[in-house]
Amino acid sequence: MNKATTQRQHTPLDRMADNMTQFHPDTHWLAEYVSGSLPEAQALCIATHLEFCPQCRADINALTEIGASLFSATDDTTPLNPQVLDAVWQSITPDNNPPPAVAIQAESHPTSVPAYPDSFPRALRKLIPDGTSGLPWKNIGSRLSVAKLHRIDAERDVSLHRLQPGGVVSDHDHGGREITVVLSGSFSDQNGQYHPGDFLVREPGETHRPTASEDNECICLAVCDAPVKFTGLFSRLLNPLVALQHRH
Amino acid sequence: MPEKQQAVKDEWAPLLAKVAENQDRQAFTRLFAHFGPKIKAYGMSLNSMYTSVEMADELVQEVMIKVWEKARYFKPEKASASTWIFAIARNCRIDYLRKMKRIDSPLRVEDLWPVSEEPDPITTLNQSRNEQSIQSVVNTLPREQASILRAIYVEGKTHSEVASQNNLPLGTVKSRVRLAIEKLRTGLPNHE
Repeated sequence: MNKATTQRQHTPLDRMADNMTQFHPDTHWLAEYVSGSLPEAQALCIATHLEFCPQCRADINALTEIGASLFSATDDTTPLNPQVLDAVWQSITPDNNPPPAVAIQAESHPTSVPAYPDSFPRALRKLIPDGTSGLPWKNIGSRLSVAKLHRIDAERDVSLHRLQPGGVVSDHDHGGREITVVLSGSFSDQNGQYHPGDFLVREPGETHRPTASEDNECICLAVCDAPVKFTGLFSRLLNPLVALQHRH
Repeated sequence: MPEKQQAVKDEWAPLLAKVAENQDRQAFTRLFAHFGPKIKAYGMSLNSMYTSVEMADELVQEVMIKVWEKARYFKPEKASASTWIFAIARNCRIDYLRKMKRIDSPLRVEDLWPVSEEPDPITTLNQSRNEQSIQSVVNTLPREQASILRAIYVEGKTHSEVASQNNLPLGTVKSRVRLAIEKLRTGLPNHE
């Protein structure tokens, strides 16, 4: 099963501590995240998953320590330009003191309380300053709506997908690789059932038919390399809409 | 802390504490002398058309200014000094590339790569000892694993870039990285 390579499962012991999140990014995702080479839109997916998953946070810490030891072991014989230290002194000199600790996130929008689903990830809040209800949702079929978010890297679309309770999305093939992170509710497809925090990768050419659970709407973060192509019954109807979604 | 006796001391952490508490310039100068050249080497290693000596010097400057300003956020129980500084250097390098590529984003690098968060109980371990054990295992890695790991972390290459530049299948690169990381992780005291 090909997909298994992109969906790492922790050991049963790990899962006891973390019984919600079952689908995790593979090691190579985490390594590129830690080393900083992962494109920002994909890094957003990892950062979002990490907020749900203590086990992957532990993995990230271990991977960061590995990075730090490689960093510490670098060949550091390159001479330092003595002016660099002078420049540092100059820029920290104004009042000689580190600035006082600033309360984290004294952000704008004090007037309204944005409506987020419970435990909405911090990494995403800045992209959705007015809450999920303030987004420009576009209906794609009767049960699925999509809201495009601000692009954060040149090659990928970032959007939220909202699937009504019991809603089914017709079979579709992703024209490019798509990462999905469940934010609230749950959905299932032929490979399993996905809950908040679950991290899924669909490679181009894989088709699937997600179905939301009956009791709640399901909201997911989706980051896609290229337009999604619908292969199901309504493909001719749906594709122009999707093309519209992906036009920039 | 019953394990204290066996722990290898993180000699840089107390210097960061002095910078945080007393704005101690002597402590800071020692940190600069130790980490400055490493940050510069890290900048020079970046696999990018934007890499240059000037960029590396600028990176040293920016990282060390952040070290001065953020020393009070450093939590020795969460990370060793070098792990913390590595994370800052990584973020500054991402930020530099972002500026070069004129990426317009409402997110700061720290929104996507948070550095000073509260420690998770599960990950609060003896960080400096970890680093020592990782270091000793790194030295025993087969050459090909060590060089790929360096390409990923220090040169900032993606797995695909490593694969194409070394004429290796992507799957081979991924599995070498995974193997190397597994070996390094088993060197960690609280692994399983």
